[in-house]
Amino acid sequence: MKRVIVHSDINHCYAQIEEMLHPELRNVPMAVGGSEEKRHGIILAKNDRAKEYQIKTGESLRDAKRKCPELVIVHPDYDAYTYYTEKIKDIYRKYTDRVESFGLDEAWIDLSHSQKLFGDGVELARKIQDEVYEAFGVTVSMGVSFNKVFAKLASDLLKHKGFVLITPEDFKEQLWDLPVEDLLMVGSRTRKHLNAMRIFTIGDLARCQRMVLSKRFGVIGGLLWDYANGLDDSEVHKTGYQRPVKSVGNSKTVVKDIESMAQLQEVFRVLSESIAARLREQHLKGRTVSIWLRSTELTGKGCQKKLPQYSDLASDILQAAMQLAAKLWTDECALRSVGINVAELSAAEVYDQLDLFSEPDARKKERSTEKVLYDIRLRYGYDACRMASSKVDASMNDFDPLGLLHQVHPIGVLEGPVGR
Amino acid sequence: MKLFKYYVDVVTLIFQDGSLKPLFVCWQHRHYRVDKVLSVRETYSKAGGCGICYTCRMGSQQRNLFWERNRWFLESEVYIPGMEEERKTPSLKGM
Repeated sequence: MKRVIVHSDINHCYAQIEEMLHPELRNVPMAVGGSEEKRHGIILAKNDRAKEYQIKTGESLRDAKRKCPELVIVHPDYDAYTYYTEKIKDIYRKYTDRVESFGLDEAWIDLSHSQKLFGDGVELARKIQDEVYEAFGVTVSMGVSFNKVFAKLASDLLKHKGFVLITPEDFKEQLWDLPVEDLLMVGSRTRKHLNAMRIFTIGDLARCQRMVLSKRFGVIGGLLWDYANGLDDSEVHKTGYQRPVKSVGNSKTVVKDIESMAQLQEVFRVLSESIAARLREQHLKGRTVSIWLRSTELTGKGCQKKLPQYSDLASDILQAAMQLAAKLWTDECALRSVGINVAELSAAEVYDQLDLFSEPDARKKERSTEKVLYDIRLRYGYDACRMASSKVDASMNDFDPLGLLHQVHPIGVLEGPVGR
Repeated sequence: MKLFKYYVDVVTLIFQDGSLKPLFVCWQHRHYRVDKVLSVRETYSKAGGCGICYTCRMGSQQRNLFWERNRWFLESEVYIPGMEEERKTPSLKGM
């Protein structure tokens, strides 16, 4: 039986959903963007009228307004986007149990086995595309192929309800002339290295020797060669499959620029507390801490370090992050956005390593303290318990990634310990 | 033809399988009986929004009534100034 893998992509998703909900936006240049006052003012999606003005996704609202002064900016309504994209995926799920989401707007659909029930897979894909348009007035472009990589590649070829079929017979003619960066997993860095090896198109990649690539790029090199030759046989995961967590991180674009180490520490404290709480919630511990600093000139840099042992303590993460920041943040430039990420996670039971010079129970106590702090905040709101130092510059750290800031949970009468 | 949408109160019969049947549409202190539901399908409205579209006969008129997420709206070619809705998130009342 032939494999039929479909990759479907909702064309400029947020903008299209906004247009569907408010059709008057179809006739004006419109973009979905954050709010400039809170300083996340970038374009998240734009409609076709806005595209005519060369407005690009990811540029700042100010730049976009300069290109097109009458541009209508709509604030994002994530609740609606998640609702409608899920509804659209429900249509896919009517036909197969193998629907793998790739972000909100993209999904892989495996129709190979559905062919017994619903007839030819390619026809079925077309039918699904029409059905989505009929039910939601939203166009999706579809790439149909015999593996996931080519399906993804094909869905990007034609926008606006595009439908591209790539078969094992004609993939060479259709795809090998495309630039190599169109291939999944080839980013700007890999492209640079490949171009240096005089590999410019997917065909070049496929025609060169597998050994050469795996020598240069390791495992990824071989994988890329397989991708280019259509040898990818990875499965479309079943509905409900969740990738194991690889890292836990938080970042924040602050309301005003960070100018001193003390300010940075306060922001990092909130971030690391949130990361530690999330780690503990998932029973994970991490070993690598990396930070990311973005200056007001929008240049970013990051670095990472290894902790001496696996940890889920906010104090460890904060300490490591501050050490990294001291090394990395040397120039005068103020910071606009900062982030911390903890990786190399271990789900297994990892014991605290004792050492000769610290108190044996110190880490255990620290963990209990943090847990109590978290419980207090969970119940009485984030503001119930704060470091005094956070009051020095309250606007700086008046945020809470866990969303406990304005939340107060009443605990039921008998939920607490009774007569114990 | 340009269409407009108006959120309306609807007296609805909910069957035990979860399907809905609109009985009366209440609009500005009057209610209008839905005489017959002509068709039911999932589609989008040219006036904006999407959901389950009930094409209804109400007296001599035929109107599309949409069940959008958790509320009803009526599609109409009549424009009534001031009755269109401001952009805001759907209410969770009664959920």
